[in-house]
Formats: sequence, structure tokens, C-alpha cells
Amino acid sequence: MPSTDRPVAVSKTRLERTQRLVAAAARWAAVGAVLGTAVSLGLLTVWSARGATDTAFALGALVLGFGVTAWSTAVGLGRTIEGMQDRLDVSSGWTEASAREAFFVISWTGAGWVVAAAACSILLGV
Amino acid sequence: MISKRFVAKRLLLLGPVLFGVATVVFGILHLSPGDPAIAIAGDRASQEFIDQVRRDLGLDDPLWQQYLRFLRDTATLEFGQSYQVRRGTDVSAILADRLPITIELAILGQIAGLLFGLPLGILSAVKKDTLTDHFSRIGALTGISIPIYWSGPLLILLFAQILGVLPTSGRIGSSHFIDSRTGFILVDTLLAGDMAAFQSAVRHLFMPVVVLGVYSMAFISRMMRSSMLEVVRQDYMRTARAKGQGAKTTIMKHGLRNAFIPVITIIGIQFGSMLGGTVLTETVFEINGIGTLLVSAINQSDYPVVQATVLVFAFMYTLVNLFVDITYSILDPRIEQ
Repeated sequence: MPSTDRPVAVSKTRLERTQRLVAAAARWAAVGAVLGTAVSLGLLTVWSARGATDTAFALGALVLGFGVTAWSTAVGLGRTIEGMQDRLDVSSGWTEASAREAFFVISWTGAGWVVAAAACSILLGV
Repeated sequence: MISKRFVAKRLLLLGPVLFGVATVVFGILHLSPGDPAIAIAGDRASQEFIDQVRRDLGLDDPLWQQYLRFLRDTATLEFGQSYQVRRGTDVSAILADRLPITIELAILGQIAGLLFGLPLGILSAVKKDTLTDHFSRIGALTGISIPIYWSGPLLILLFAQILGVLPTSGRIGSSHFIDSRTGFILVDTLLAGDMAAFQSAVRHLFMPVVVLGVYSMAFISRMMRSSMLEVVRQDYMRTARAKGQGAKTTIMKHGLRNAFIPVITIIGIQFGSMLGGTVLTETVFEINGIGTLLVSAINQSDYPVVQATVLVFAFMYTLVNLFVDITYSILDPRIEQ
């Protein structure tokens, strides 16, 4: 007779959670690094090495800055915004948790991007 | 009692917010057209001189090096000197001059918003679906929908041009000379004991404050109404009435405190719009606060001034929200959990 018992959900330990976050951060930073390198090299076909890497870096800084600002705003005000949406009855399905996750991705992509653009700048002898 | 952990957690968020804002501003400034070296040297300057200026300012370094230097300087509150707006003057000194003007405007706008928004919201909720409620809701919607760059010139047209009862711009009449002690013109005129100057300042600030206050009032009254409607349906309100307490006392004693919690939140969140509004208001009414400073600095590619001004805006916004969080947790201690 098949068992009807379901596996008991075990809450993840803090260590597991940290490991998962670090792995995700590294993965998105790698994606950002690929983007940063691609943009730097792509712009190199149009501009000088200095112009290309500087522009790539500034674009990466925008992504990083936007991500970090929005992430910290989501952490600080997310619950408040959720509550306000409910109260005004204008809820759009936006949640603090989903915003935090999305901006985590953007922040680490931006971080990888700026590091890659800076590395390209050094490698190209700017 | 507010737990130190709660405040510390909120204060810790200041770091990422300021880092993020500083990074965005840095990125935008370096992507936008305009070369500060040319702006400083002048259009007719030789290329050698422009290169020299660029070297002196460190603008010839790779951008990532400029970014690291900028982060280091920002962390030590060293904003450098203005390139253009007030060439050679410390940015901190410029901000110290201009900041009180903007803070005064924002505070007065917020007070006006609260003074009219709260009673209007309460009245609208208590007299739900009556003519008063309909007028109040239409007023709130109108207030939210009218942009400052439109309402400002309209008020100038009506009160200054057609009726001629209020001045069009500035903070005080040109015939009054007041020593700036606090930077807040109303306080300074009172400290100087010059009532004529005080009246002139009130008349000058009336329209900018109304423009800022209407927007704030609309939001607050709308929030107050929905919050109060929810509270008056609660069991404890019915119990208080059943025990013989009057309607007014029940609302003021039991309803207001609970209904006020989400309104406090709105005040914090909306303070950002208020700061953005001061940029427009100061421009429309020619008030020399940090809003107009920011616009001039952007137009003249004055990187240090733009960066410092935006950081000050971000800092003020975060600080107000921290204050709101603390107030929130005093009104409802469960928030800290």
C-alpha cells in the first residue's frame, strides 16, 4: 500500500540560504561581466578604446546604481508600499519579495558589468 | 519604546541607498553630453588649455578611477569645489547656503498639506456619499492631477498679474534686508523683529507653498478618507459607541490614532515627490534653493554640485522615511516585529 505521508518541509538553514545567495550573485555577476565585455568591445568598433570602455562603465554604473537603490528601497519601504496598495485598493500584484529578488539580479548584473568594463579598460591600456 | 535594533536596521539601509544614488548620478553625468573642461575653459580656449583643465580636475583618468575617487570623496563628505555655479567655492558651503531655503519650502508645503488634507479626509469619511464627500474627492483628484509646472504659472497669472495681490517671485521684497541667521526667511524676519519683512516673506511664500501643499493635501485627504472608513467599521468603534460615547469623541479618541498610521506612511513616501516638487516650484517662482541650484549645475556640467545636491536629496528622503518608520512603530508597536 503506498504511503500517504508527505515529506515534512524543513526550513532552510541560514548557511544554505547564504550559499544559495552567493551562488546566485556570482551567476548574475558573470552575466553582467559578459554584457560589460560585449558592450565595451562592441563600442570599440565605433569609438576609441577610452570612449568605448568609459561609456560601457557608465552604462554599467547606471545598472548597478539603479539596482542597489531600488533594492534598498524595496527592503526599506516594500512592506509599506504593499500595505498602501491594499489600502488604496490599487494592488498590481507587486510584492516586496519579488521586487527584492528582481533588484538583486539587476544589482549583481551591474556589478559584474562595471568590473568587466574596468578590466577591459586596463587590458586595452587606457 | 523603540528598539535600537529597529532603528539600526533602518539606518543601515542609508548606506546602500546613498551608494546606489551616487552611482546612478555618476553614470548619468558621464553619459550626458557636455564637457566640464570646455565649460570651465570657455568655447574659445585653446586645446592645450582645455587639456590642462581636464588634467587638473582628474577628468583625463579612466572612468573607473574617477568613480573610485568619487566614492572615496563622498564617503568622507568631501564634495570638492564648484566648477561653474560658484567657481572655486566649496560645494558644502554652497549647499549650506541653499539647503535651508528648500527645507523651509518643503516643510511649509507639508504643513499646508496636513492642515487641509487631514480634516478634509476625516470629513469626507464621516460624511460618506454626501455632497461634502463628493466635493472633497473631486478636489483630491484634481489636486493629484494638476502638475506643479502648470498650477504655478496659473496662480502667478491669477494672483500676481490679474488681481495684483501677491508678488510673482523671490522670498522677500527687495526693500527688506534681513541678516540670515538660520536661513529660514520666516524665522529670520521674526528674530529680527521686522514685522513688515515677515509679512513680505509670507506674501512671497504663499503661492509656492500653496502649489506644493495642494498636491500633498490631495494625497493625504484621499488616504485619510479610506483609512478612516476602514477604522469606523471596526468592532472597537462600535463598542465605544454602544457604551454611550459620542460620535465625535469616538472618532477623535479611538479612530484618529489608528487611521493615522497609513497616513504617516504616505507623508514619508510622498516627501520624495515634495522634494522633486521643490525643484519645479523653485524654478517657477525663482527661489534660490537647492532645486534651482541643481538645474543650474546640470546646465553648466558642474559635476560636484550635481552629485552633492542629488545625494543631499536622497539623504533627506531616507532620513524622513526613517523618522516616519519610528513614528509608525510608536503608533503601532507591532510594526517593529
